[in-house]
Amino acid sequence: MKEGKRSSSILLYAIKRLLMIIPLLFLITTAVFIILNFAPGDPAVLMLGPEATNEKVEQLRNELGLNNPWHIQYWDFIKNLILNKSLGRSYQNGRPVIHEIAKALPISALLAIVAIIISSVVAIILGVLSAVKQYSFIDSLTKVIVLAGVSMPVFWLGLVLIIIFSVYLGILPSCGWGGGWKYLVLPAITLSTSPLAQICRLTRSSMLEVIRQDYITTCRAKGLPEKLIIFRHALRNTSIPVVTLIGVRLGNIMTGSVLTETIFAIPGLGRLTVTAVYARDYTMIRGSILTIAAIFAIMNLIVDLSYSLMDPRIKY
Amino acid sequence: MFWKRFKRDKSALIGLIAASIILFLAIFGPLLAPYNPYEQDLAKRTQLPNKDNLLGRDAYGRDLFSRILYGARTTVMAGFFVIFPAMLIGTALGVFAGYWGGLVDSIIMRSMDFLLAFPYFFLAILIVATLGPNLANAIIAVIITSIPQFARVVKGATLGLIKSQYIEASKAMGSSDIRIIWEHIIPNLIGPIIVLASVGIAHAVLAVAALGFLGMGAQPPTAEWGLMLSEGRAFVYSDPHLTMIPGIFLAFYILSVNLVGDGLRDTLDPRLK
Repeated sequence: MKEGKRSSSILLYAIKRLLMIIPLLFLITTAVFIILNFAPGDPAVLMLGPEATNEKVEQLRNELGLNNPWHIQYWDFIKNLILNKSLGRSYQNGRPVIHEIAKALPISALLAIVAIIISSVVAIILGVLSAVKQYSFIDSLTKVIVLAGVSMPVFWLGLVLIIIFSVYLGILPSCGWGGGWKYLVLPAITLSTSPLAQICRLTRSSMLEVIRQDYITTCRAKGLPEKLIIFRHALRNTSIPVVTLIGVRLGNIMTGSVLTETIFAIPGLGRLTVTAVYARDYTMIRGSILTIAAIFAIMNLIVDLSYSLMDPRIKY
Repeated sequence: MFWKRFKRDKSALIGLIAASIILFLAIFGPLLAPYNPYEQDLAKRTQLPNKDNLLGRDAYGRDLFSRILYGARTTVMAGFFVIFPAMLIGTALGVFAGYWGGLVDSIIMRSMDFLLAFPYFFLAILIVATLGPNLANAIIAVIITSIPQFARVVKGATLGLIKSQYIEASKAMGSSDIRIIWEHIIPNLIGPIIVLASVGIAHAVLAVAALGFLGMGAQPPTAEWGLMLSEGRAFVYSDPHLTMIPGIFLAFYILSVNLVGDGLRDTLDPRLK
C-alpha cells in the first residue's frame, strides 16, 4: 500500500515536470527565433552564391518567407510545428530539418552513451580505489589522471589520439563514421575524459567522507568482508551526488560532442549545428537548438527522478 | 595568514609559478618574440624546430614561437576579459536577487534558469551565430554563458548573510540598503567569488579557444592558440608539431590555472573541498 502511494506520487511529480518542459521549449523557440532574426547576413544570398541576380535573390526570399515581418514568420513556424509536426526545410539542401535531425541524433546519442559509460565505469573504479587506498600509488595516479582530464582541451586530445593511433600506429581510423566499432573508439575516449575526471574526483571525495562514518566502523566490527563493506554499504551512499553528476554530464556531453564530431568528421547533431551556423541555415539552427534544449530538459528530469530510486528518504 | 595557508599546498604553488610564467609571456611576449608573427616565408613552411626557429614554422612559414608568444596574449587575456565582466554582472544580479527577493529575485533567477536551459557551449555558438564570428563576439558569448554561475552562488550566499544578526542590527540602526550591501554583504562574498572566478578562468580560456578552433572566435591570421590548433589540423599527418605545440601550451596554462583554483578553494573555502 505504502509502496503504491509512493510510486503514484513520483508519477505525479514526473508528469508535472514533463508538462513544465512544454512552456520552457516554447520560450526557447521564441527566444531563438527573435535572436536569429537579428543575425547578420542573408540566407538567400548564401544559398544562391555571390553571382546570383537580385531578382533571383528576391524570388527566393519570397519563397522562404524571409520578406515577411518576423512575427508572421514566427506564426508560420509555430503553425507548421503544431499542425504538420515540421521544423521547416533546411536552407542548405531543402531537406526537412526533422529528417536531418533524426539521422544525426542517434549517432550523437550512441557516442554520448558509450563515452559516459566508459567515463563512469573507469571513474568509479579509480575513485573508490583511490579513496580506499588513500595516499597510495593508485591515489597519486588518479590525481594525475583527474588533473589531465580537466585540463586537456577536448579538441587537442582528439588530435593527439589521431596522431598516436592513426598516424603512427595506424591501428584506428582517424575520422569518419559507420564502419563499425573501430570508428567509435577514439571519439568515445576523447569525449569521455572530461566527465571521467569530474566523476572520479567526486567519487573519491564522497567515498572518503562515507568510509569514515560510524556505520562503516560497525560493519567492520561485525566482521563483514571489506569488499562487501565498500561496494554494498559505502558505494551506495555515495551514489546520489555521483549519479547527479553523471546525469548532468550526460546533458553537457553534447558540448564536447560538437568538438569531437568536428575533429573526427562524425555526422552527429553537434556537427549538424556547427555546419548550419557556418551556412546561416536558420531553420536548421532553430531545429537543432530546440532538440538539444529538449534533450537537456529531459535529462535533468531523469536525474531528479532517479534520486528517489536511490534514496528512499527523498519524497516528492 | 591567507598566503601562509596557500603556500603549504605544494601543487597550488607550482600552479601559481607556472601560470605566472605564462602570464609573463602574455604581457611581455611581443618584446620577447624573435620574429614578426605574421610574416610569411613560404620557402620555410612547416619547418621542424631548429636553432633559428625554436618551435619551427607553421604552414605559411611563420615563426611558431613568435606566434605562441603573441597567442599567449590573445588566449590568456581572453580569460580575464571574460571573467571580470561575468563576475561583476553575476555578483550584482545575485546580490539583488538575494537581498530584495520577491519580483526582482523571480525575474533575475528565471532569466538565469533560462540561460542554463541550454548546454553552455551551444548557447555560446548561438550567440556567435547571431553576432558574427570574431574574437570580441566569442568573448561576449562566453561572458553571457558564465554569468549564471556567479549569480546562483552569490544569491545563495547572500540569502545566508541577510539572516545574520549584524545585518539585522545594521538595518535597525537605519542603514540604507546600498550601504548594507556594500559594507556588509559584498566583503563577505569575496571568498566564494574568488574561488568561482579562478575556476571560471580555466573554463573561459577553454571555451574561447574552442570557439576559435571551430572558426567562431579569433579569425586568421590572428595568433590565438585555439585557432592555431585548428590551422594545424590539416597537417596532422605530415607535420604533427603544428597541433602539438599550441596544444601543449594551452593544456599547460589550463592545468596551472586549475591547480591555483583548487588551492584557492581549499584555502578560502574549506567546505567546498
